[in-house]
Amino acid sequence: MTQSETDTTAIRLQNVLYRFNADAPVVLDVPAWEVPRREKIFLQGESGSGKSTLLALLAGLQTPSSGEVTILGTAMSALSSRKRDRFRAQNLGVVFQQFNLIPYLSVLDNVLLAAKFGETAAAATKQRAIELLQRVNLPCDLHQRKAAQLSIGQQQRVAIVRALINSPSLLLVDEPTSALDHANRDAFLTLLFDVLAERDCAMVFVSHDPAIGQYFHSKVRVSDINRAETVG
Amino acid sequence: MQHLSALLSVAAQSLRYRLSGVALTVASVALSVFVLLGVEHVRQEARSSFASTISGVDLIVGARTGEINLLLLSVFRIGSATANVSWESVEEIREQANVAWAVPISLGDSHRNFRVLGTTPEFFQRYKYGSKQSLELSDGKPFQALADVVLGARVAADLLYQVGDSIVLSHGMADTSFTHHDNLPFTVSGILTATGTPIDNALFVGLDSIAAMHADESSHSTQTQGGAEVAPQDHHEDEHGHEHEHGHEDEHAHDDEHDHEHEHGHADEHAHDDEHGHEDEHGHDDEHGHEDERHEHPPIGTVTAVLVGLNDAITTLRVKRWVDEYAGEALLAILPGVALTQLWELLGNVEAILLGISVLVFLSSLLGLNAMLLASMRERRGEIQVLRSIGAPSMFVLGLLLIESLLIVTIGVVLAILALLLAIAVANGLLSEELGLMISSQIFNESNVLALVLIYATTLLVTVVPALQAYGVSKGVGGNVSVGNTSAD
Repeated sequence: MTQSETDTTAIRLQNVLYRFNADAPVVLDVPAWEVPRREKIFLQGESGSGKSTLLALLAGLQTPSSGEVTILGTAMSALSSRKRDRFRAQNLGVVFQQFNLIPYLSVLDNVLLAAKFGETAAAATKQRAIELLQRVNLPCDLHQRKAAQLSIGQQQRVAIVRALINSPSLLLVDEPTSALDHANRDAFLTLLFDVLAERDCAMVFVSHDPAIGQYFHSKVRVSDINRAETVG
Repeated sequence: MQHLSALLSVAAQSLRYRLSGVALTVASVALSVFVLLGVEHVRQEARSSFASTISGVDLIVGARTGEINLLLLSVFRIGSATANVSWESVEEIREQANVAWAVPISLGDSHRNFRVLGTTPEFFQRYKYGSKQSLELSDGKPFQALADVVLGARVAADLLYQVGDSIVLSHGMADTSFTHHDNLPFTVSGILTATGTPIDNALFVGLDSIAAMHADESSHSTQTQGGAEVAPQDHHEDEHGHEHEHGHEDEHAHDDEHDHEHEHGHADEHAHDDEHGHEDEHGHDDEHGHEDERHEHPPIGTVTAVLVGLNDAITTLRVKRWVDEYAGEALLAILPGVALTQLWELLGNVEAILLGISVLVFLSSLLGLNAMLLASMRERRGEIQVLRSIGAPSMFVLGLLLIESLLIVTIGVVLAILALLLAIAVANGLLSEELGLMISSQIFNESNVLALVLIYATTLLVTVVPALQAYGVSKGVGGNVSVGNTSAD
């Protein structure tokens, strides 16, 4: 952790190229891109702009064909896949569009499973999980419900708690509101910012919806950092 | 694995969540494994039960005919003899150096469509079936008197006979035979325990009884079909040949039961039979002890076949050759085991059909299992993606899917095995009473174990491959340039 604590950037991409296989066209070509620590950034891009691939690279779910992805001071390609899994569990929080939870586990177990992989599991973890769930307006009677029984809005709030349970330094969020109506979307975003305001956590929020950009100070278009000609 | 308890808990909750689907899958696996193991087991059992129809007999000697004909006639009592073996030949065979014992059998009569086998009491000690199991009496004792008959288990069960019952045998096979040997009604002296072999379907009487029954016909020199011909001048029974005449002497009108015998018209021979049955028999039995009457006084002129036991199995082929080259008459010796195998190969269609069914059942169960597992894998890609995003190690994801698949297959297999053992136990309860057939509970033979191994192997394949694919997909939008190292460590 020594290096990552001292590094001042949350994300640094250098000469990153990505293609599905050796013969395929380049999907992502990012010569240089940096996000400072604690920065909350809105990454706007149409579908097919390579934003999902970019997010997969940032999460260490995918490694670049060439170039260097450095997250919190750690070069992802230098890590073995097992170490990348652990790094992700401990330092990153990920929230997808939909289907963020294991449907057959209870709300609380979904959160605690993530804590287990982050190896922060302790007696206090459960208490912290319950407090966080209440913080996002999920009362105790919902905690033992199966995730599949919750509404999508509720599920996305559980996903935030799950992403934050290991106190990550970087939150990666991919279209979390696309399945929500406007009222729910606004409530979700307000809550997200409220919770994040209490922590030292950088965030990359990916969406095609420019309206969400109003919540952010820094906005970037994917096409600004990606030079690759991507297919829509 | 460090997350083992979490893994088991997640797997358990996953199975419980999809309980109805899982139960269906388990049921379908159990059913197909049950059918697969069952059919395969029946196939093996049919073969081995067929091969164990007769054992403990080294050679069967009969008049020269086809090997399978002789086997069918002497062991299964199917068909009829074209020629017989003379008593002189029986004696000669017995005197062969390597021959330990020779038990003659004589066929040709029946009782209500069950065939009658005339033989000597030694038959019950010598005839073995299965893995050298001896015949046993469930009730009564072997035949001793002329009018004694021992019943096979099925005969007694089907016709509801008990020891002490009186029955009349018929000549030939047809139930409607016009020739009933009512000159000599028999008394059931014993009933054999069920063996699951053709023994169960036969009635056993002494050779002398056969001779006595046919005495009348021979005296009229009517043709006798089937085996047990009585030589015209049969000296059976009459201990020392003083009484040849009695076969022909009639009209003594021995009052007893001669009333029944219509066909023969002359209420005659019974005189002879009775006398001879009741007096001579005993006389002869007495002498039995002191005199080796075997050689001098054949109980019957010819027999259908001779079961031969040897001192040393090594001499089997030598004795067989001696019999085949026997100058006195045209004889044939067969090795029962070899002939049974030939016959089974002849009936190979049955086995081929069962084998075909096993293979089809196996393939369909394999495809069904794979289809279900693949479908559930597809369903679970999203779940794998979630697990990956929260930092679950690849071994956790793989382990989760494997535990579930293997658990489903294992529960199915265990249920199938339990059901099969139960079915065998129930079937044995029914079959051993009815037919004396015992199906072995040894259901694990080579091909069954192979089938189970293949089921497990394909389960692993069908689970691991989609798991790894889903793993690759979860890493990006369908791409996997650098998946190479994903599962490597």
